[in-house]
Parts: sequence; C-alpha cells; structure tokens
Amino acid sequence: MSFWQILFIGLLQGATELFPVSSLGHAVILPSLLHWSYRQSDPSFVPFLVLLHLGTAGALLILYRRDWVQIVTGFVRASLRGRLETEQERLAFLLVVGTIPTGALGAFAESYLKSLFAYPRIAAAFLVLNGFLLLGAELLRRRDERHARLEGRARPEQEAHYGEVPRLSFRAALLVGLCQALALFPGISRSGVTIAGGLLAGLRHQEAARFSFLLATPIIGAAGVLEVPSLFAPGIPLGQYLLGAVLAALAAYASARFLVRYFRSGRLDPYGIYCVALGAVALLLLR
Amino acid sequence: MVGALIVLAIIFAILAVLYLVGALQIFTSTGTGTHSRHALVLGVLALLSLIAANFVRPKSQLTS
Repeated sequence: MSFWQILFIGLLQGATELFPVSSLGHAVILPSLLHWSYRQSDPSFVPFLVLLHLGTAGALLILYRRDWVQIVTGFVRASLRGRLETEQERLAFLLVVGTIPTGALGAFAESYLKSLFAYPRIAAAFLVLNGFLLLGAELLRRRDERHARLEGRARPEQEAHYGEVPRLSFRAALLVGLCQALALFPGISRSGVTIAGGLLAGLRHQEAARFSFLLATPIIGAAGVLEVPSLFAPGIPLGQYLLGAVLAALAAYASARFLVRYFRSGRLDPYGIYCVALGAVALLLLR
Repeated sequence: MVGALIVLAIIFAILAVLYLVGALQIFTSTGTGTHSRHALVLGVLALLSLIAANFVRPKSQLTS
C-alpha cells in the first residue's frame, strides 16, 4: 500500500467503523473498486486493519472514559461480592455477556473469517444483507410504535417510550452479543447489527448506540492488542500504519459524537439504504 | 449449580493449558505450535465461570 492509500483507509475505517455501514466491508470493497493493486489477503493487511481498530477503540475509551472507570471498578467489586448492587455493575456484566459470543467465535473461527477478506464480492453481498438487517430492525420498531399507539407523535416522545441500557435483561444482552458476532463477516456492520439488536431488545436508539459503542471497545481493543506482535514482522511500514491509526481514531471520535446526537431522533433507514445501494453496485462492478 | 460452574471453569482452564502447550490443535489455522489466543479466551471463560459460581453460591445472611 502506498502512503496515501494507508491514510485514506485509516480515515475511511475510522469514519465508517461506528456508522452502521461496515468499516471492514468498505476497507475490503473500496480498494477493489478503485483498482488498487495491493492484495487484501496479504498477511500485513489484517494487522493493519486491526491497528486501525485499535485507534478506534482508543477513541471510544476517551469518549466514554468516565463510564469505563465505573464499569471496570463495578466489575471487580461485583465479582468479589458475588452480587450486583448498582447500575454500573449491572452494565459491566451486560457488557461481559454481550462480549462472550464474539470473543469465542473470533478466536476459534479466525482463520476461516480472515480468508473471507480476500473476496470483495462476499463482502459486497454481506453489505447488502447488512442493509436489509438495518431496514428490517426499523420496520419492526415502527410496527412496535404502531402497537404502542406512538405513530404520528414527535420522535423524542416516541423514543421516550423505550428503555435505557441498565434496564436491559441479560438474555437481551446475549442477543445483542450474538448480533455482534455476525460482524466478524466483512460487510456486516458491528455497530449496525448491535444497534439493531438493541432496538429489538427494546432500547431507544440513542441507548442502543451507546451500548453498541461500549460493547465495541473490549472486543476491538482485544483484537488489536492480540495482533500487535504481527506488526513487528519485517517489511511492515509501522510508522505509516500508526499514522493511519491516529487518523482512524480522530475520525472515530468525531463519528461517535455525531451519532450519539443523531440517534436522539434519527433512525437506521438512511444507512440501510446506503448499504444496500453500495453493496449492489459493488456486486455489479466486481466481476 | 455452583459445582457445575466450577467443573466448567476447570474444563476451560485445562483446555487453555492444552492450547498453550500446543497439545490441542482443534479450530486452529496452523495445526501446529502453541495457540496463545485460544488459551487466553479459554482462560477468560474459566475466570468468568468462577465469577458466575461466586454469584450463584448461597450467601450468608449477615446482620449488624
């Protein structure tokens, strides 16, 4: 990869990671559409992507730093006590339950999943599927709003009918965690499917996005930390990769702040339509 | 329930050690060598099983 390609992918990954449009799908599809010559199946490509993810995780840690201090201390306290007493302790264990499926699947199916990165058409097909998942989640939410007689009311009023993260059941957290595991396939958006899962679990959009971003941090961070040793292999432009990661972190921070505001009243529909459109165009062009 | 979770933790811990020393090669990409990532995940699952056992164990009713 050239220097500018590294910077472009870094910015793209950071900007798209938290938007429900699959950063991994974009990082696999766009270079093929632009006829860039580097191979996505190259052993240095996944560590590069993971380093970008590490930048994103860092941005999320900074954004939710107060939450994370309380989550970590809450986890330790509740683990030793053997009982949940505060909302932050409950949130810590909801995150643990939601992280297990992706952690286990990511570790044990890693080699198979990495092999999919070599096929942009597969990523494009999953991107289309991702779009339909987002649209489907919103369809179900609208149906629920009709049943609750919220149709036609102002969006903040509709959203107020739904719950906040600490009210989430552990079964629902597991459902969101299983949704997150789907995002190991390139083209399926981690934030998209976890926000969709949160909506199905009865969270308001903004809370679903917050839970999605909190859930992302340990899994993205752990994946990044585990791949770091492979970055020191000979021939890997570490300085340029790190610059890409910094750009990814800045873009991710800005994206997260935007999305938290957007989901006060916004829905997943525009992202769903975008994913279906881009995936379909990519399927047509990548022959 | 507590006993089952402790047994589960022991199983996870044993599997973690087997992956770490390279004696277990199921679900690995190379088929040889040690697999620290698998061992780490199983180690975390063992720890979480112990924490879950601590949650479900009967608590003594302390009065002040």
